Amino acid sequence: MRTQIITFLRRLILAGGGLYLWSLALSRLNVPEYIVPPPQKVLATLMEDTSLLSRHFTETFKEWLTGLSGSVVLALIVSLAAFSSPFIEKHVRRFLVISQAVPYLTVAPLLLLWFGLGSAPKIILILLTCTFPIAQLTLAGLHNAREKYSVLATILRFSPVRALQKLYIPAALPDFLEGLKISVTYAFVSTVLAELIGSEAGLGVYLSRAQAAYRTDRVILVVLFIVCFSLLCTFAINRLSRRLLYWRVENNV
Amino acid sequence: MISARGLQVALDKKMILSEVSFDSVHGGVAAVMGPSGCGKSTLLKSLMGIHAFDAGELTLNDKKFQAVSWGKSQSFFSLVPQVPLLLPWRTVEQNVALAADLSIPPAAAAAQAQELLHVVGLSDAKNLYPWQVSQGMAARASLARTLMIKSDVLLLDEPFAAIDATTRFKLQCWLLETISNLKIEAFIVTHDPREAVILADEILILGGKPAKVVKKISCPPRLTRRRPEWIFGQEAGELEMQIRDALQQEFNRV
Repeated sequence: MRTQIITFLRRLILAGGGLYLWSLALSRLNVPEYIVPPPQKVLATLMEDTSLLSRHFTETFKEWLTGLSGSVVLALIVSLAAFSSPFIEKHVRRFLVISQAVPYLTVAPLLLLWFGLGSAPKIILILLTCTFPIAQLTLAGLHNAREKYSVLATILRFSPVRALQKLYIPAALPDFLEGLKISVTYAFVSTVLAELIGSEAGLGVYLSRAQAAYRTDRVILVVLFIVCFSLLCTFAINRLSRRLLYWRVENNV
Repeated sequence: MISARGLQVALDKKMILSEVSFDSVHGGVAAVMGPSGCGKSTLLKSLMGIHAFDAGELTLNDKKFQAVSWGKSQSFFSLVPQVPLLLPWRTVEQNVALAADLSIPPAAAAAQAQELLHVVGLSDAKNLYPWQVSQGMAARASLARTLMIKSDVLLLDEPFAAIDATTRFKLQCWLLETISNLKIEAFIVTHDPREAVILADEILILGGKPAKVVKKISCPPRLTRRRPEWIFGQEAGELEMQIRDALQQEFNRV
């Protein structure tokens, strides 16, 4: 507890120092406010825009959560199906490789044309970008687990289903969580980018309007907001994985 | 009781075992020895159904099987693997209880696991995770886990290799006791002539490439071997020398 407080204070001082340097540099170098706004201006904008920002954020958050949950479910189905049948795996792998070669930022306009300005194209974009890392890592984890524990499954006379349930899935959990870690922030950025291209609501809309109005303070506000949100997600996932992987040596030292 | 005739195993198109024939003594312990890499583990794994036989015949308790169709589904053998393979997310006790039959309720399985852990001297470690225990303790837990599984023949693949000499001797005596009480047969792969002398009623020496049984050494009856003055006496020493000589011959041939 004591060390936690010290760490927190140290971070607070670091962040405060950074902000101070930021505003100091601006005033010394005579940078005009519309090019780089000082931190107090960004803070004032945050106060001013709180309700607007939270409305846009809620929209983005909903798309993000739906898309990410969908990705997780889809990735689990895909990796388990591929794991249990070499035939499916061959085809799934081919599909996954192709799906990674598509530059999604360029597909986004097409999705908008097809599915309109609502949340559907964003969710589809997340599914396209985030299913792959989770599925790929989970599948690799399952294969490693089988290589390691198939002899044990024979010794224990486990049926394939029981081996999957008791041996392979728990053993592949760390890899699944790694995939999730990558996807969580990736999905959020994808959503904002899709909104930037065309949308009715969301942080991307706020961002594009700020850009059109030359409101650098708002742009910076969104960037900082996304950074904070991503850090928060990473923190949450790390907490979750420490809890689920209680048995890992590095979580016990 | 096992009778094996002309067993043949090839891995990756390389013949590992060919013409392996042996008869086990009813309720006996056979030590399988031979140069490292000669196929001792392969023989055990094939009996377990992990590798497939390519030819041969197995007679188990008077029932005849074609070795080629010998699959994983049988429950005749149980194996203590070379590495303990404990699951890191389960405690020692949970690892052992995992081997319980599905028909046994969890509470009964836990009780059975605790009993076996007591037998292998791991009662104090039952709530520890595998990374918290020594290699020797892990090996004992693995042994306890396999003993949860009912079978006619226990296969042990160098089960005591990672265990310190004092504990090993205790476990060897205990294993012999257990096997006698359960009236099961055992095949134990070992590099240690001393271990073979203590445990085995019969020693099979594998050699050649591909390997077959090149020599059989019979040991005195268990009642004789159990006496400490025999184990540390001259006769046991001579037997150990005989094993060493036979092994040396095979090593030189490789």
